[in-house]
Amino acid sequence: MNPDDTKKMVETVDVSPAMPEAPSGAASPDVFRQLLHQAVRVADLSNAQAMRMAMDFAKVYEREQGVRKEFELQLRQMALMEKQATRYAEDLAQMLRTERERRHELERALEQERIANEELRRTGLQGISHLLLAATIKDRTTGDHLLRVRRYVEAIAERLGLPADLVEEFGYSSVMHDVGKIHTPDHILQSEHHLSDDEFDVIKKHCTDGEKMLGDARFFEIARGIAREHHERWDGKGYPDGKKGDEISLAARIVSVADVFDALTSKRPYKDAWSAEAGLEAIEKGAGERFDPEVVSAFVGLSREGAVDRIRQEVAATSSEQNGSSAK
Amino acid sequence: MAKLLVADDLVPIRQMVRITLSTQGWTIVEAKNGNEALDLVRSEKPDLVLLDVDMGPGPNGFDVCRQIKADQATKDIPVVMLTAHESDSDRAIGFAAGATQYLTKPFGPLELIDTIRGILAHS
Repeated sequence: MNPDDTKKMVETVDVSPAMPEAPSGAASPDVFRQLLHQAVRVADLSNAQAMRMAMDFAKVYEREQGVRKEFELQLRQMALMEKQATRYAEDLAQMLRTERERRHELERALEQERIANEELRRTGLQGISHLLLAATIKDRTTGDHLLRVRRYVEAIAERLGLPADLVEEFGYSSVMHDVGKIHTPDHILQSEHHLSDDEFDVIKKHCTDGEKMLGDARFFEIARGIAREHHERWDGKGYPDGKKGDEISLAARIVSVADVFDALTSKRPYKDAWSAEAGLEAIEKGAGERFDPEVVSAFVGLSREGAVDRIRQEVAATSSEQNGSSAK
Repeated sequence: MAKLLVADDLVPIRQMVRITLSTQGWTIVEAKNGNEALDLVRSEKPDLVLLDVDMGPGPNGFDVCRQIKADQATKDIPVVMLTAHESDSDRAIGFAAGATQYLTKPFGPLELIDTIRGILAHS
């Protein structure tokens, strides 16, 4: 191979002059990739293999003919180019290896963080279930009530178009709306009579108590809002703060609808269970007064599609299943 | 953005240098022999000059370096020798001619980038 050919070939290579602006710090991985890409092209064109062959031929030629002088310069240049191309290839391969190792390390670190996060989440959820166990034993609220509220909340949140991770967070946060009732004296909580104003003031404290119990971890942020605000009303006539409209967190506005609907349609010591139709009618009446109209219309939509009935049936089925197995 | 002149008689070497340095956003001007290099140094006023030693007919890299350093208008431009001459005496000649750095072929891309970056940062 004539070295002039190599030159011509290399000269025809189009190297775009419009390289991206270089970063000011150390050479970035992008630069490495560019370098490697380009070097592979140049190395290809320099065709080290062809050069070695040419030099081997030259050696034979020299030995046979005794003329080397005229090729001396070209041969030296070819030898240099071959070394140069090899050096580039080695350097770039090393850079690529380093970059790959760094990426693997990064991936490992990310994976570890994911595991740690998952562990934290599990710890949080476990804490919730202990908290709830305590609260339900005291309040005589059933686990079924909490499960139905959770399912309603998730369904409403999903229908409102919230992203899946938020739907889940609203769901697990909703079950803690009444944890503050642990502090409420039994005689008031379990009273079957009409409460006096003083007694009702004590009941109201479960919202702020619940918020306090849920600490300051990010995991319970939504839950704290729900605990404090689930008795607030859209028209501002609720408690404990008298917030109205958007001042109340969306999660709390959703829980409010789900909680009231389930309370109405469940049997309590002082009342029978309402039918789903009657419960839904009451909720619709409350739109714009007690409840956020958008949340209500989402809930009504779910009900029309049969989602509310389905949740009620599914929860009833799992609970009778559990009762059945524990009876054995 | 820095402007660099690379003088080398071999197209593939100039190509490699240009590819390597343009990744840093630097503008590259090329010369294929000593006379062309001197003309371009005067007309383009680059921020740094890379010089091969053996560049065919005309002044060699050491000569070019000496002339750059002798000219009041260009004497402050840093010069980096980039050559296959790797003996200590050649290095001594290069530095005596006024070169700031002396790199030998084959050179690695990072070595080249780091050397130039270091010099540009100090000037």
